[in-house]
Amino acid sequence: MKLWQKIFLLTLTLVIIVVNASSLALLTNNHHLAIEREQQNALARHNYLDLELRSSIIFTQLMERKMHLTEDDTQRVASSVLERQQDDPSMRISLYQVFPTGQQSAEGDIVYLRLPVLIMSVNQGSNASTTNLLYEPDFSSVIEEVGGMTYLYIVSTVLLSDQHFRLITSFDISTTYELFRVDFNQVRFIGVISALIVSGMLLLLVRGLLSPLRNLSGTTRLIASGDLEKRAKVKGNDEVAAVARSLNTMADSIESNVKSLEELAESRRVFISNLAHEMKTPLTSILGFADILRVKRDVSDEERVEYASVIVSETKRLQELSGKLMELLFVGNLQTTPTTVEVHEFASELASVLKPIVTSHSLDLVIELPDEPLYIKIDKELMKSFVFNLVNNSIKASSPGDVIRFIIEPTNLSIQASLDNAGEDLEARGDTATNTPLVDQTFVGQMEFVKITVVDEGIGIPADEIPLIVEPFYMLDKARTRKHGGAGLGLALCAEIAQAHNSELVIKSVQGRGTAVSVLLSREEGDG
Amino acid sequence: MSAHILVVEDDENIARMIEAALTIGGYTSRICQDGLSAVSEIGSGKYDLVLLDIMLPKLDGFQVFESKGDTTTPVIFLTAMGDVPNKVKGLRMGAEDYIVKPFEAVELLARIEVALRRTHKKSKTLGYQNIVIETEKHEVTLDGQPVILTPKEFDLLVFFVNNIDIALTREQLLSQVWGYSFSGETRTVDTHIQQLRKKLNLHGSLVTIARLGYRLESQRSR
Repeated sequence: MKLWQKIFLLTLTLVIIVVNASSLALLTNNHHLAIEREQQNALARHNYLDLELRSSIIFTQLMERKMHLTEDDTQRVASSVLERQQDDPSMRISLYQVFPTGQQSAEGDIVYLRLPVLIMSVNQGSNASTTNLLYEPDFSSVIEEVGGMTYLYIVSTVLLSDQHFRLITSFDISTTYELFRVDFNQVRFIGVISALIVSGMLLLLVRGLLSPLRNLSGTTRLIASGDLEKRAKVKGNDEVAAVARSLNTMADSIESNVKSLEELAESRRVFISNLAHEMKTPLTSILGFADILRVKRDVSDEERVEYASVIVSETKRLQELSGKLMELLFVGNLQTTPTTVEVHEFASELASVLKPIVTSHSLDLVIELPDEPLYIKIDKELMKSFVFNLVNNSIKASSPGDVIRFIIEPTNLSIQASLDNAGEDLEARGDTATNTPLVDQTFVGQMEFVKITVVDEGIGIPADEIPLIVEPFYMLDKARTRKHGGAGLGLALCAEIAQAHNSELVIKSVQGRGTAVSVLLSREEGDG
Repeated sequence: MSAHILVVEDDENIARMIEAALTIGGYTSRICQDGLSAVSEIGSGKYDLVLLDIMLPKLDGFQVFESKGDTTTPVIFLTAMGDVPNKVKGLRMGAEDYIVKPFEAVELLARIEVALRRTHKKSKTLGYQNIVIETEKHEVTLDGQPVILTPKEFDLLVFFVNNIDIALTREQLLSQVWGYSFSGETRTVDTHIQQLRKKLNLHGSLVTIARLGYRLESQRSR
């Protein structure tokens, strides 16, 4: 069941119950009051009759100058009084002579010596079964329904000239009950009508109040189905608006996540397409020459050597490519294992490898180191590969006689502490008013770094291409790079290695003058 | 019958490979390593066909094609980019064909052969020893006597004569002559070869190469 249906049904049920119960209570109360009024009325008339009976007896006693009237006289006087009441049909009267013992039964009923004798009944009509009321206590009122009519009975004992009589009057109160029944039906009818009206209004109200929720769920469905730029409308300040705001926040973060994933996928796609191209070039030579060797009828020794050596060198190129790829994968995927290294040791290990390579290209390698010992925390193998790749790039860019310099130096930088965090703080505080001044968030201080730089005097890089050269497979001069067996992965690898050390490449270059590539590593305290 | 072909390819080894393959096919060639010089070479009109790489320094292959002007020299694009949009672009510009790297030497020669024949740069009459083939009229004579060949036998003969001294695999024959690109049905090739040998007395010169295929040799086996 939907929420609006639940709210609607529950509220409707509650309203119907409360309205009907209260109107019913009111109705019943009115009815009781009406009956009470009837009772008082009846009692008054009963008492009046009672009084008239007694006064007639006394009057007769006075007239006839008797202290005591006989049974017959008493009955005659009483009958004459009652006969006068025949004009008023609203009151029915029965008068019995009774012979009380003055005792009561265990149930509280009056006990008589012998059966009561009906003296007179007025307006009684067909139904005269009032004998059962003879045993009721004095002035009790009894309501009885007889043949669709409701009667109110009043019973009292009258002492007339020392004789006991029982006077029973009854009044027709059917109209009161009829009125109650009519009222009751009316209330039921009004109840149904008002329930209909209330349910209609309630329906509109509930649907209206819940409509923002419906819009919200529509928006959510749209976002879920991929329309990530969709946002919910935030109206007012109620709970629904709060949900809408959180939904929008969620959508924002999803959108940015998806975007960054898409960018990642795109860069992967570019990488793979470049990789395929880089693989196809050597493969073309290999397949072509291998096919020629296979199908050609006469291949001279000279040709065979030429073709085979191309196949070998191109195969080596593929090998180098796959090696570089493995390295990239290694740096990207595996946890580095940093150790604290002293830079002089590190440099001398590298120098023994680099020197012969550099000199074989008729270039000079100059290594500049600080006077005092310096410690850095690095993954040694990765950092060696880093320097090796940079020097290799420099070799490709240089012409014979040039100097390549490999520099390690301490450097102090005044740093606005944790630039990244400060940026995040700014973003996080975005819309909320900033109570604290920004200065409190940034810590300005000196940080000690070790800078590793490789500088050459080669051809340099055009300024607009500097941001591009760290892209995998980006080559400044394809022919020149290829001639040296490169695939355009060296600097991409260096950038990955720098990132693995929580740093980044700094590239400075002047076309025709040379290039300097460096990385900043945090300085460590030496362990002795 | 030989044609002069311009090879525009910046990768030195690939250029050398193409040159070697062209030599086998009996073509002369010249290598050009960048787009700018390619434009002036094509402009000179000395070439019967241009093999044009797309990824070139200075001007890319498409730009070279556009700036070569109205010269009718047929062009075959060579590239590592095998994607459909590039292929369509090259062909729509008016290129004769499009070869995706890496490729086999025989495939290159076959495509060149088709392109040259289509542009009538290829001689209409082929000869091999005492056999004369009129490609236009679909007629073959042996020592002046006409020989009746089925269309497939004729195509097969033409393909062999165009690739003298080159070993051709059954798969290559199937794909170039029959147009099949799958490697079943090699028995068909064998029966047609036997028919050719019988009808044209090629028993000594159309030789079987073990584990490879067949080769039509320029001289009777030594």
